[in-house]
Amino acid sequence: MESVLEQLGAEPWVRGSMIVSHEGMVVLERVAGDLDRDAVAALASDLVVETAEGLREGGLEPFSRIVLSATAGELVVVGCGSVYLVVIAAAGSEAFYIEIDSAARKLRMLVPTASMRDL
Amino acid sequence: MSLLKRIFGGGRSRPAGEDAATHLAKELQTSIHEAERLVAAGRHEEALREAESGLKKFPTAARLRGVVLFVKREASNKKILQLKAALETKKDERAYRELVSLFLDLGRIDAALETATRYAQEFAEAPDAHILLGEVHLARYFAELFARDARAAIESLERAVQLNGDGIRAHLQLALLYYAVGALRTSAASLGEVVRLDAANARAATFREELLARAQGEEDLDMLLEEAEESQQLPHDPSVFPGGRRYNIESRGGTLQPKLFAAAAAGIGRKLQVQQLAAVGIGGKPLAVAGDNKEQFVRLACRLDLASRRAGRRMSFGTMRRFMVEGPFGRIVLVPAGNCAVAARAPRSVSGDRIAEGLEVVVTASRGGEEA
Repeated sequence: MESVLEQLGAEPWVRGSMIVSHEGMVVLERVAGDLDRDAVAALASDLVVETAEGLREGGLEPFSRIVLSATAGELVVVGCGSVYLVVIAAAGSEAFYIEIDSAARKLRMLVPTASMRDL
Repeated sequence: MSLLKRIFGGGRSRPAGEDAATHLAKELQTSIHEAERLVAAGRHEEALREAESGLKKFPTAARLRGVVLFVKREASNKKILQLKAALETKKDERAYRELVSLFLDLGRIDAALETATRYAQEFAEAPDAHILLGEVHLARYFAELFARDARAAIESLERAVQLNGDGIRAHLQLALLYYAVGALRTSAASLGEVVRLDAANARAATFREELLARAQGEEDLDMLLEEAEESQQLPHDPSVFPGGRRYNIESRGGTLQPKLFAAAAAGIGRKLQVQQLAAVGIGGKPLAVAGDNKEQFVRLACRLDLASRRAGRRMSFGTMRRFMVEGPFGRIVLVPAGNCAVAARAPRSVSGDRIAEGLEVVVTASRGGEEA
């Protein structure tokens, strides 16, 4: 899993990436020096948990991907079996999503597939 | 003539219906396609005019904003390089001011801040340098409502006042900020300084009297700043304040009218196969909803709105543009729209861009009667 995050981190537009459990616990992270890693981890967890709970309350299935787009960056979360891949990027593009999807596919093969419902 | 009158055909008695949304959607699409076509053809000035014209009616349309920024960036890049090169060889106050102004015009607030900070460091005794730095901090504050930016603005503007107590501009900017966050008595005190320095300024004197009449009790500035950051809303619109329009603060919009919302939602709903659509106030107050399972969806929209704003704000991502959630249920897109946020759920076959544009249309049509 570390190598997947390392590969993503080599992309110039990636400022950080992490693997978060469905409960919001950070399993692994690679965050650039200019970001407060604890704050980013806490907020990514918060976003993942709030979105998942909101969907459950609304009678909808778990999400497979969320994208938060802002003027200065994007945060993407992709479901990978029993964990989520979280990527913090400077800006989005088609290549950006292709790379993230590729990393997510690799993670799905590595992570125990206790829950495949959100694939 | 109001936007809706233009759409519904002047004084004819035609009910506000789905046609309005369909008409607006076509108008937005046409404007986007035309602006992007002109950019591709290298006709940048015409593209800029087309995009700016479209933004008057659809002020938060992301693709039109993209065209404006692209054209301005292309035009400004050469000048920016020249100014930067000039500043490497000679410390020049005018070049600093021009460079900051260009960055602000391009929406590059961080670059403007970096340049203004350098200007204030190199010309530490120049009141203008600190006023400019204060104004850049203010621009950033009004874009994101982080309390720390407001405090930085106050510090710079107070430094300018220390260096030149006779400067009206710094007092005015302080008064504007205090007014926007609800510190009316403090704002009146700063306006009092303006009146003291410029006794002929009748507008400032009248405004000061109004503020004193409306001010109630003690003011805790820190608390007011924290409240504005948390709610992402200013109690007073700074653009009505003398000089407030220069910060180009996004319109907080008018009130959504539920009947118009329902009609527009029906029109867009069919076109984009939208299953659910909701509008929520900044504090999480449901404003309007359409489609299946209304209560559940409006609760979900509130929750997504609060979570995404919180994450975007604290990660220093700038202003939130869109939050999109995908899954077996389809695609939910939520976009901020001034004093509210709107969300819709549609099948995944409909792109996020198309849903976001549909939401833009719904908001414009639901704020019926406003002059766009």
